[in-house]
Amino acid sequence: MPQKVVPTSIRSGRAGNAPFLVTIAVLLMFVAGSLAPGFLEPASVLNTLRQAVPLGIISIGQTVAILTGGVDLSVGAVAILSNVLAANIMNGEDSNNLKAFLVCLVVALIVGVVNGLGVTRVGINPFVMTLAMGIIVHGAALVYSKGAAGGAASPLTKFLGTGRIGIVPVAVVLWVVLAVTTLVLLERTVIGRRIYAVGSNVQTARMSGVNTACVITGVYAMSSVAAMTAGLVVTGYMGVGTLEWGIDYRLTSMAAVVMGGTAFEGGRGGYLGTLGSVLAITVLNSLLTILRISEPVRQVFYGLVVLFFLMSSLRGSKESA
Amino acid sequence: MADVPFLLMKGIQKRFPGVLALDSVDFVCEQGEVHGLIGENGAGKSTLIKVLGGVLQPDAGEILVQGAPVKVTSPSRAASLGISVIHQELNLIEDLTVAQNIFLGHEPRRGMGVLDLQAMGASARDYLRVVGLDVDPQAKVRALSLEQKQLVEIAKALSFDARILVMDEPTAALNAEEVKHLLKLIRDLADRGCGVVFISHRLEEVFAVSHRITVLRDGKVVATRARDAIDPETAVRMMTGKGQVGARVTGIAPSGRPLLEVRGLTLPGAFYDVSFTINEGEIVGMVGLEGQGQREIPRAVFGDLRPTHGEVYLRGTRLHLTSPRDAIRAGIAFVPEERKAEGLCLSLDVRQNIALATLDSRQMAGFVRLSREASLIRSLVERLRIQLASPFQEVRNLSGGNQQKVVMAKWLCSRPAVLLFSEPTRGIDVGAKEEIYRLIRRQADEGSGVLIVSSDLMEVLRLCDRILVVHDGRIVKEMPAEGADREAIMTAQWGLEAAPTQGSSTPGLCHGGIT
Repeated sequence: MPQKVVPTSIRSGRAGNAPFLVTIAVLLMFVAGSLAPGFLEPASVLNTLRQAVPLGIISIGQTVAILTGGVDLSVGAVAILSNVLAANIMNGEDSNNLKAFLVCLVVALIVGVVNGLGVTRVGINPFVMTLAMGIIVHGAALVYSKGAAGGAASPLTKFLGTGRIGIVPVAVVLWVVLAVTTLVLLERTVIGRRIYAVGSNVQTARMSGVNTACVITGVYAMSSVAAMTAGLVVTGYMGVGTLEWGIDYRLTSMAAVVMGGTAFEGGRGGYLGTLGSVLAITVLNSLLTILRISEPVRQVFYGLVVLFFLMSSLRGSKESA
Repeated sequence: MADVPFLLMKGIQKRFPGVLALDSVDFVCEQGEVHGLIGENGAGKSTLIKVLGGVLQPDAGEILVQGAPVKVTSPSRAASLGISVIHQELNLIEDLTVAQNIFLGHEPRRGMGVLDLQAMGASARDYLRVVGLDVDPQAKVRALSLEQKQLVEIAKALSFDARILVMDEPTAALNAEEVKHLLKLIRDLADRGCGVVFISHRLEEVFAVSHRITVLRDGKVVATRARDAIDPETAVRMMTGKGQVGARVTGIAPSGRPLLEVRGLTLPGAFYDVSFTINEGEIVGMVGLEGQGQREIPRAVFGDLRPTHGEVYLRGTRLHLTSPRDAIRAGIAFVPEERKAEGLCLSLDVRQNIALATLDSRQMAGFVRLSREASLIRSLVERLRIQLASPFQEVRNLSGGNQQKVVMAKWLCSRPAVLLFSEPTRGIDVGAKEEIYRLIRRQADEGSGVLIVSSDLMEVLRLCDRILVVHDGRIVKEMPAEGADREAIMTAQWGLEAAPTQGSSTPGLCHGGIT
């Protein structure tokens, strides 16, 4: 019997809540557009997208970490440290770019690998391990900058943070490239298959010859590097190193991933859903800004939205169990 | 003994899907008696004591305590009727003290819910004296040895005023000295008026301690006899099933060329000095009563457990196995007994599960070659006749038989030289069972060597070429499966034969002390 072939991503629930979330994002955009003329202009839409880039990139790492059944709470701190390091090393000169990039990359890899080894070799709970690591890294950023971050982004980094190709922000281009890479990695590669297997049942994965410690460590390294990349984009956007942003990303990224339909127990979900929720969160944020709603009220609002999605995803998983 | 027995179980029946676990079982236990309960794997011993302990409800039959019919609806109801069951896995809270454990749930109080700590300490000391355990009641259970914990369990049962004490394999993890002490305690308890139901896989202990012995087979009572009216050989004969062995699943005769050689493999606490050979095209069955080490042996060959001594050779080359990955690379596959826990990724689809162990062989620059994978999976699904709506279906939604076939398909993606199975057909319906037998035989016909650890003797007799019997961590007997004498297998399983194949000494009945 010929069977209609539905793409895997939809069949196996990898799309998560993406269709729903994107629909919400579009609806909210029209609401915002009706309230603020000009909001739906292409340039304005792209600008909104650019605001989503740091969260979008950090959530790449968070998605893979949660897919393996873990979580990475050090992402915010890694982004801050990479911002502070990059701005100071660059000191406004393009000639320092390579050095700054390499230093940030090495630092991020060390953080990620130590997270992974702590989880796999020592057996520390990922929550505790990465939370502690985040505190250490944040502390290191404060020590390095002596409490007053400075430095200056190089012209190339500024182009990355604020430049445009035509009307499309460079940062958005970078995000699209990384997002596509992530989707391909998870859906089409051997590594992606192993990430899902480890998340679904780590013992089965081990008994099927998967080097589970290696996969998990790799995932935390990937998460740190994604956070570092987000840190570089922010460096370009702000133009300086600053300690006043970023630490909340450890929680917002987690919320984005879970809202997107990736299950905390691992092995289910994917980046498409995360992508949807990053877009929805960003548009919602713009709308609340247009409505001149104060920051504390927004916080309450976000909390309610996250709760709503968690509850609906819990109900969903009970039905399928 | 009194006219009315203290405990009478009459016509107990319990059916599980596909099997009648207990078929009109009558069982009696008097106060002051030790009643041994024996039978092979799956004879119904555990089901019977679960019914007695209130864990399972019988489908038919009744339980009478002192002549009065009772409904044992829960373990706590059983305790209040004076029936205490001590399971093999002890049921103590490690971080509480000995006294707290003994009185858990029925602590002495002084009114207003205040604990009477003094009374608790004092009577804990009394109970400990009865079981002969000299520890401080305020000591944490965590700090005790296994034997001491077992004695605390008994003290706890006594504190519930247990009149019938059921002990399931209490000696399994004890050394000879500790066993002796425990058996004496059991006799003492009986002398004090307690009825003890004693279950053990060591026949000599059953004969040493029991007043009466009941033999179960296939969910039925074969006989209840006074200890003096039965001897171990007769008991084994009674336990041995008389059911027909189905037609043998035959194929090409094994070549006789050695494929896998295991020499002197030892993992203390599990198995000792295990040596055997599997030839090309041969299916070797490994049988034993629960907990004799036979489950750990294939795991050691697969690199999941790390033996302390011994060597594994594949086609004459020594293998150094530190993880399942090494074993898989060498061409060894393992289908574990718990497919949901170790064989499958339940939240993933059929395709991902089947492909998991051999991803590296179908990749290009790290990418999965999807079309190759699809055609491989199509051919395996066809060959193993896995029934599914689509390869993109989550394995969680498949039946047990189809799930097991998915696990097998995972290993048949490559051509493993050696296939290790633990309980290949557990929880699988009859039709799928036959298919799995034929698939295993076909692998052997293609030249693979197969090891099957199974608690289903029929399965081993039908499918295997050769049988190894494991008792107390050692291979104690080896024989061809065709026309094998089931009684001989049973005798070896129960350790009644001191004729090990490897020249190692096996504690058999020799020191059994049938008094």
